[in-house]
Amino acid sequence: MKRVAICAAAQHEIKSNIWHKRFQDMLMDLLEDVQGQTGFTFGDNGVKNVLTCSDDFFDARTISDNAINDVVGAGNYRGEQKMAQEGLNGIGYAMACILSGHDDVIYFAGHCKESSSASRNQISNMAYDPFYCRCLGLDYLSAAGLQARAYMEKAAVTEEQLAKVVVRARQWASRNEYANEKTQLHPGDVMYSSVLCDPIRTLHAYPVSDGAVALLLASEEKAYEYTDQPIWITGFGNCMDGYDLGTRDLASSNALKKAANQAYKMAGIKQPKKSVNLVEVMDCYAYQQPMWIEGLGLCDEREGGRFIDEYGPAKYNVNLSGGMLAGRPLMIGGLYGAAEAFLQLKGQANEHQASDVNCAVIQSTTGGAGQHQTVVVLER
Amino acid sequence: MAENIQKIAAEELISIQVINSIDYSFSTGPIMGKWFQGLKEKKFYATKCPSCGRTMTPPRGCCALCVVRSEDFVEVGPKGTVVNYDIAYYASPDPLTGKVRKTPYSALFVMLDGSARDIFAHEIKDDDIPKLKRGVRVRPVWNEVRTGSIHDLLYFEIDG
Ligand SMILES: [Zn+2]
Repeated sequence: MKRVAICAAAQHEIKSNIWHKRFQDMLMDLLEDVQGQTGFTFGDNGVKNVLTCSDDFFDARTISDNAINDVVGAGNYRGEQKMAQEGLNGIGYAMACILSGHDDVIYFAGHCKESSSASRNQISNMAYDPFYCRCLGLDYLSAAGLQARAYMEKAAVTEEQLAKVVVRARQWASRNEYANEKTQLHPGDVMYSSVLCDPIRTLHAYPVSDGAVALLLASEEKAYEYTDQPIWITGFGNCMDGYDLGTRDLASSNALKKAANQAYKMAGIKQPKKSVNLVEVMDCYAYQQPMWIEGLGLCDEREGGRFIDEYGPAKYNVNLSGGMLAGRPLMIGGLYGAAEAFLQLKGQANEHQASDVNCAVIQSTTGGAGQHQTVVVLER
Repeated sequence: MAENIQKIAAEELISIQVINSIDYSFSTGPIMGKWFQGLKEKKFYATKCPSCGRTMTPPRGCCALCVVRSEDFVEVGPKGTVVNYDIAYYASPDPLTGKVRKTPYSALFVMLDGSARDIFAHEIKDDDIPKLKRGVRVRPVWNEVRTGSIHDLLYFEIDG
């Protein structure tokens, strides 16, 4: 099969409130960053088709991509499509554009400013139907609380284990120049932080975050025009679980297992435990790190807690960026993961560089309690 | 029979009135920030593309045509020439209030003096609507209390 490469990645520094910039300003910085890395141009010999990722409610305008066309190079008669799910899905979309022969190079930029709204819970409340769940005040936090209780009981995950996850996330974040929350914590800080949505504590939840990410993707033939070290997208899969929480088995990440199996199959990975040596999971809440690790098949069912105790996160280089728990905006949490894995595979992750990384798996999710799951495999 | 079904349907298929409301705060960034600061001082600032030389009002930080950063400011206007307009006579709901808007009202394209390949969209004073024509000269009418918002500019009126 023909291959698709990521030729460049640019990450905007993540902050809890980038009040001094519009998201257009943030995307302009990334465009210049990626052009600086690759020398790419728009037009017949360069990018003819652009992909974006943003959310109407976070941006408070319908067809949110229209507002950013200028700064992604689409404002002058070029193709543009918007990914209205978490940005990692855009990598699959870009692959489809390229492998179909429709395009040979795609510029892809995603942004999300969670700080624009008074509360991101008001935004995720809008994900639910207007007659029933929205009126009851359901949002992604309360959906996650339900899932946390169900999963923690099933897999016997402890408060101590969750504290380890958060403490470790902050340690790695302190080495990542793009990460948001770098305040160092002791396990007790986490275990006795105030309860946000029982059993989720304040420090189990990702900080409010603003950010933007851009990638340049190209066909195998075209990739070397932009870089001498392309990173290959070898696997992609996604899978949707039910909309109604009551329909789902909240304690099991069945959608993730399917998405992961698709991605592994495409990448020719038969034993992920042996092949994968770097992982970026979208752990919006601490319980999700072991849960998504189970879903990715890197530990057995119900073994997520033990995975944490037995140094699984170190063995598999889980979230050396700090991950969501150090702060990433919701719509592009996984896209940041892809940009991080890109740096790791190139050996350019500086202070948080892992050794001997050649196969990275990135997971992301859209919707309440991990409803929609996406997995990408990147290889050197 | 059919009548009966319709009656039952009408009783069961109710609709629910909902007002969705979320508070936001939007960053203007330095480019739009400069624009609003200008309005406070009765000035129009545009950015000028370093590549094609066109101006953009309100200012944009990137020229959409050249896809290059454009952060050089020039002052344009305050007077300008009408290049296009429409006039709404139909009493449709005002998107800002949901209430019926007073008619007629206009949408105006003005080429502010000193701008290049650019237009600025605003409104004309109600009394001047009958005199509106392409090529007519207009001047801004400013709000007495200016706070750095688009409402600092009330509308344009015909100059002369
Ligand atoms: Zn230009």
